[in-house]
Amino acid sequence: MPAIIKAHVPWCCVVSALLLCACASLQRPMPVNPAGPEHRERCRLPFPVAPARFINAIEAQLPDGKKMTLIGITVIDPGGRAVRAAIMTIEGLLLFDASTRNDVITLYRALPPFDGPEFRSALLRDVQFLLLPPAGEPQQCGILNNGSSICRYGLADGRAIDVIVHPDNSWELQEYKNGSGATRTAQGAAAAGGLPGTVVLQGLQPQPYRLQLRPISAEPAKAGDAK
Amino acid sequence: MRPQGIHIMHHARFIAVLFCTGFLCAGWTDSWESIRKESAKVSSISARFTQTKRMKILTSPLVSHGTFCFKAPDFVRWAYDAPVKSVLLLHQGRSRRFTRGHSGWTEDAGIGAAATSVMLQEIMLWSTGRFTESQGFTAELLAGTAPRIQLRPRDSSLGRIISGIEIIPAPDRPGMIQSIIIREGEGNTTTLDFADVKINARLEDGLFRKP
Repeated sequence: MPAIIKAHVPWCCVVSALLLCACASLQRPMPVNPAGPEHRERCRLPFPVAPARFINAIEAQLPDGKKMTLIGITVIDPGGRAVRAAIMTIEGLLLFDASTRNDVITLYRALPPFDGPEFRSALLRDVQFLLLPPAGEPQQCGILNNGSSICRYGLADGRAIDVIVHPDNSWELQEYKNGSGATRTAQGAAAAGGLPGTVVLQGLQPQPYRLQLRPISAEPAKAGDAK
Repeated sequence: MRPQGIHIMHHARFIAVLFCTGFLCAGWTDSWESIRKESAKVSSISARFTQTKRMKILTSPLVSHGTFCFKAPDFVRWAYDAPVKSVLLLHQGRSRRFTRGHSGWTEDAGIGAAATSVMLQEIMLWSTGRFTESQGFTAELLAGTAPRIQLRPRDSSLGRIISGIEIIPAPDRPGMIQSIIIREGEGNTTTLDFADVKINARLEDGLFRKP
């Protein structure tokens, strides 16, 4: 290999990596293949259709790189678009308990460092992102080259959410804000054995964090349980 | 008044201390003096525990299982087998928690070294049966046919986290604790029930090292 090429190989790798990273955060182009109603229906697969209660082990990686493991309890009422979420330590201390319905938050308990208003809003937004389908109908639906179904939702606040369901029933969610690149993503494994699959949620902006949710239990709930 | 955040950071160690405290109180049901006397006889404890968490958001309790080990003067190992594998270690005022996740055992960031010294004082007091000298809780010994110790937080910041603790001894086995009930208010409680208790058995040092 000529020396000049050799000398530039590392830089080419760096630039390529940067380009790949940049592409990864941009909203993907919608496929041109038309999608039938069955693909639109498949985009509902990641979200519960009836009230349910989930208990998860949450491995959290914080913006400073530190890790901690907590237990999360979530009750969801899809019809009422209501969510109640609680976080406790492995030892059983309840750190946080709040619900939201129609963007109104009710706080039942919040201990430091989970007592800030920004935290409670962000946490409930994360839960809604994972468990409630985006409001309204998708603006576009399509089929990716690998056979995955994709639905793109445009929200009133300027966000866009892509829901992608793969042929093996694993799925992805990608949230974008006003064309500024991805703000949040989630990847979920297919449900198995009566439990949802493991979910990895990544917050990308304004500060990066990562949550891995490993299901402990899932059961039907009543709509009123999400209050 | 201590900052509320400090109390939170201490929580994991706090429950471990409750385990420790309970077993160390052999023969304590008559008086505080008998508690101190019996505590001096204990060099090690091991037991299995079941933790039952009841909350309004749950229709049925969340049950966890694990083992507890104490070795005098100040080694504590508090480990969960399910639903999340974790190990909490205490030694010489330093506490570390490890949890087993998708990438193996990792040290948890939730336990700060700064908070350890305060809780260690509690450990030292309780493990020697000196409940009444605790700066965090007042203690009341309720003797009788169903003896128990009731602990109440001294200040309101701790009271917002834990409203009270009840320690219930095993009626037929002097020196052993049957249950500990931790009340957080709003009907949320954590109950710890113990079984397979061994006192003064030989415990290897390796138990108290990181997994």
